[in-house]
Amino acid sequence: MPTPEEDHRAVVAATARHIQDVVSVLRELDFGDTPPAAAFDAADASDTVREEGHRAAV
Amino acid sequence: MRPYELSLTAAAREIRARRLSPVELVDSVLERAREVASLGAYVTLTADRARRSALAAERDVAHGRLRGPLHGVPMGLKDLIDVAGTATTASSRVRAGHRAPADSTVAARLTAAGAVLAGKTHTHEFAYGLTTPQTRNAHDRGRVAGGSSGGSAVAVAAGAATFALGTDTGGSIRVPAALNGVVGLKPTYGLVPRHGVTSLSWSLDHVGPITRTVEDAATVLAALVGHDPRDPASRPAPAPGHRPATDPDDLSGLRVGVPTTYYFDHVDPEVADAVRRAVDRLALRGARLVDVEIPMARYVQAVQWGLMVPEATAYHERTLRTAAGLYEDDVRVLLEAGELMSAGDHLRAQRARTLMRREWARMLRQVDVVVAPTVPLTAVPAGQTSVSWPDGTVESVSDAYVRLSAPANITGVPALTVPAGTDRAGLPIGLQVLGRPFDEATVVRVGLAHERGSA
Repeated sequence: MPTPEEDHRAVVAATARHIQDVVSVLRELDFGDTPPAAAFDAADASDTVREEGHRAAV
Repeated sequence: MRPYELSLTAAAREIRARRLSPVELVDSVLERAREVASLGAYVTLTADRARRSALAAERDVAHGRLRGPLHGVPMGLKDLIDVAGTATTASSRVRAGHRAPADSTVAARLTAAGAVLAGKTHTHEFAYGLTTPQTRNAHDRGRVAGGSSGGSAVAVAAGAATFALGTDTGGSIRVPAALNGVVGLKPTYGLVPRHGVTSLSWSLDHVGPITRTVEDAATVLAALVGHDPRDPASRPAPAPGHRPATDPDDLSGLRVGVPTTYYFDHVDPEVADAVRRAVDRLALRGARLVDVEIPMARYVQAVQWGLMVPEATAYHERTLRTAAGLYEDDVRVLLEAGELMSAGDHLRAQRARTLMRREWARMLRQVDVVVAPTVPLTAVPAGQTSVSWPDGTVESVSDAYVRLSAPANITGVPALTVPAGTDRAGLPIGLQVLGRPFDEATVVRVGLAHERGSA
């Protein structure tokens, strides 16, 4: 019979495997030179929209 | 109508006109909170403090002094939000004996605007879950409140708070608001400072209002915004404010994006029908409906988990070493599993966020807002853990509830949920309105138009 601690570790390991399965889909993406966004900057996103709009207008 | 039933806007108007005393309002709300105590909305009701504040507010009114637009209005704060001298329990035994040394920015700003603290509301432990098991749904006690801001949504829906604050990392304002038939607004990332608010995941966390009307949400938001250097993500509020400059009854020229992918997949037909009817009513008010394809939808859950899981584990690293047994099992398992995520997976999620942000910015050049269901199904019975869809797909209840909310956390865009009728069982359905970063005014405009159309 597994101890409660062993049961707990098994649940954690199964959860970790499930999480890894979910995030593994990101390996499909071709990131090229894309840098990581360590923290999302919504102001930067607005700037991107404005800049791209400006470029499109030019 | 009894005072606790008034919307924030109506209550504030009555107080300003001296037709309602802050003491009457606060007493009515506190009495109501006791009547519905079995719903489990509150961790702590701060009744004595609320009465003292209400008396002071009443004296101010008598002398012609109004502290601000929320003068004398009672609120509930999710118990992740620091209020000086009170416990921030995070609905967790881990926080036993806690005392906040100072007010969070949002608590200080609401107090400065005149609001009165009625109490601290329950959260799913440390905001790491979508059901809030301590709290019952305001419409059916046998069903989940939704989470993680379940206490705040139930308090507002049941009349036990005139408004409340919640936090939202993957849908935790919008999900319980939708499931309890109230309004919830997740503002643009960075618009509302988070200093003094317990984090779940720094790069996805937001603070925002839960109210009974869209106008109420706009009023609370206006009191919350403004740069605070103590939150590194904080940004100045946009100059024009958050209220629409035009008549909300007229949506002429507004381009409303209707998703052709993702947001209507694996959605209960009654929910989908209610949302599509609401979209049609927006078109009757002049909005132009534009089909939009949701970019990178396949990667939403992977990005959300790849960001949130390691960030949450990092926040709890120390207490996980010293007091792991004090966490509820579901939260402890997630936190410990997060220790096993690789740096490579985390960085891929961060890089995917960069791509997703760009693609959403492109989509939001074609339309002014996107409208969609908030959650794919109404409140499930407490204890139900999974949902089966007609194509045989089985999904956990938490995954289902977070699925349509998470994109706005990853992309940072503002997202509002407004009630859109009920299903045959009488359970509330939520309509979600998503907009461009810092364009809360347009999101509010659409929310107001919907509200008026469905009233």
